[in-house]
Amino acid sequence: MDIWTILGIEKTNDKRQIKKAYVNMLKKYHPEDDADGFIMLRNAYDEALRQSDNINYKNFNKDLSIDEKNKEFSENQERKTLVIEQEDNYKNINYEKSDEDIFHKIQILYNDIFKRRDIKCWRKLFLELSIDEYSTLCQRGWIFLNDNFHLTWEVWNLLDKELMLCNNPNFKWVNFVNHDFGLNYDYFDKKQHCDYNRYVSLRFDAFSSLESMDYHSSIKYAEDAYEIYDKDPVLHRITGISYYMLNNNLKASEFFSKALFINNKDLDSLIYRGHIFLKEGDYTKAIEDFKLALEIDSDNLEVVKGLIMCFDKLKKSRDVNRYIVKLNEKGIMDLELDIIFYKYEQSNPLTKVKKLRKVLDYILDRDNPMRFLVDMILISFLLFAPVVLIVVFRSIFLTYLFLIGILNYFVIVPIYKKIRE
Amino acid sequence: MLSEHILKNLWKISLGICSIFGPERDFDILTKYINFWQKAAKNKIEFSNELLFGILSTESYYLTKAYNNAAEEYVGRRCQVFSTEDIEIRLNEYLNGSKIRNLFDKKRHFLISLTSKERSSFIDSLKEKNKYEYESFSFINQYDKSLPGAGILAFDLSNYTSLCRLGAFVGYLDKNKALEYLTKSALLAQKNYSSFYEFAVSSTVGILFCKNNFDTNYYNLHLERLNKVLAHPKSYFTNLNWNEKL
Repeated sequence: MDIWTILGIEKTNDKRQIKKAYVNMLKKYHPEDDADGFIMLRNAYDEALRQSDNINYKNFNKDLSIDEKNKEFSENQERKTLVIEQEDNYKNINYEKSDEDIFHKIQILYNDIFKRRDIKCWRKLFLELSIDEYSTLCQRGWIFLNDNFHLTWEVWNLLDKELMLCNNPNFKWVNFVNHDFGLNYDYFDKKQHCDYNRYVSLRFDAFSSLESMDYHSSIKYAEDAYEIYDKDPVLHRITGISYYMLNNNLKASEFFSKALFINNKDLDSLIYRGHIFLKEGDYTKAIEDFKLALEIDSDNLEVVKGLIMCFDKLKKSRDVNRYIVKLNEKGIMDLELDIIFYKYEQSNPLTKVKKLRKVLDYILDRDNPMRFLVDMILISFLLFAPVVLIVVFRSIFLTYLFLIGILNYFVIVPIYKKIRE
Repeated sequence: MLSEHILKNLWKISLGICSIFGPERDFDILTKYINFWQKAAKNKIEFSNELLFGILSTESYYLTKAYNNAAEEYVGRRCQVFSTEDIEIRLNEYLNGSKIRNLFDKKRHFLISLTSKERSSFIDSLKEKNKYEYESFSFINQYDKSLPGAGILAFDLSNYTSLCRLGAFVGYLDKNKALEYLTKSALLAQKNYSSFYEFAVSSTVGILFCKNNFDTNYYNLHLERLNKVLAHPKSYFTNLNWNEKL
């Protein structure tokens, strides 16, 4: 059997993939249950690593200096030797002790918030793991992570790639792997000594409460978190949104402003604050925020919509039209924008001309079945009107004007039709 | 000056013009009187059953039959109400949150928890995978900032109002009971929305969300209704004050 078939993967020079495949196949060829199978797997693993070394060596050969090439090769040899030694001692290793060691290592990393947020620290940890430790982590890492889950999205992604967390039905935090909720640690200050672990926990509680629509609890957790650390725009954003949902625009605006003071390119805070200004009637400030937001994300519908509503309130019809035309081109149907569009259309004098034209077209349309009736009414009017006029006004002048009108009917109408064509 | 009693009652029933039932029958009543609001201001209008039920009193057999059919169709087929017990259950459901509103809120709050960039990526990722969810989430994202924290509560409240009025018309609710229930919905509306405009838009958003993947005709029908309730000179919304003490 081919080594890649034994490992259950396509041929690759990716050592991480080879290692992962080996760990997965260990479940099938456990040394205690199938010694021969285990030996076959182990040989396949060694050969796959050897082959990947050769490929990598060839690929990098032209780019590296002699010293670098030698250094890389010897590092690879050392790593292989380490793996072989550990595997030779496999049966002598106490499995439970191995668990404690690896989780102890992870706990140390996790407890230091600045290392915890650093993806390079996690990568280094995985590189330094033995096969046993890696295997243990793959099987039981989810238990640790279910209880220790305050991680950044980048770290979650790395852990998921390494440990296939999302494939595990017992793993609780699939959503945090799949989506970026913005719960980063970018704004933590190393110089400030505070209980960041507690802070992160409270911040998470505030976020969870917001997600569950329990805005009052969210604000309460946020207040507790602020007592520990108050320079995190992420918490400002969470608090701002909670107040926004409670229709407390003043407080919401205060927190979004705080977030923007730290990070003036925070798109969410700009959009929310812009809409608050719009609701409060401060259209100039709203436009400023929306324009800044457009610089960050030029296709954001919320921002464009907000801008149009501001321009409408300020009666800047040209700006309204400019943006509405752009949205119409994209085929976007929006109730509020269509209400504005309808309002402009109604007050547009050209609209009245269009309506009049429609009426004229209807009257003059030869194919219109009502045309006969229209003609009869017109003819009757033309025949009797002069008589009525003479009787009423006793004026031949007016009657003369009317007769001129009749003649024009047979001249103006054809000309109009020709123009139409 | 409208008498306080009539004013409050008109306010309470006004919310029903944004419901799925539509505003047409209310406008039939409002336009029947040549100067409805001027007469109302001079206390020459009574708060009649016609106004309470939102069904025009007419001597025309055909019109009466059409109105009765419309009311029974709404109450029976749409709201699944066939008795007094049913109507109590359905009204409570509207107050506590209909399935539509709960679904909307759940999806909305998921979107709110994401960053703006992630929200766009998430919605885009659904385009190929699940067209229904893509349209649903896109729609919610489009109106997220237009809605207050209460979301499409207005949709439930306007349907609640219509059901109270029509339920009283078909005989499932006593008139006084209906007015009592209408007071509840009116107070909730005032607490959670800041204007008739906000209420009307939120209710219409709910109506459109109900029918996912709506076509242009459906959209235009409800847009026209929205424009009418907000801009027609005889509409309740153009003649009443949102902050009226109820």
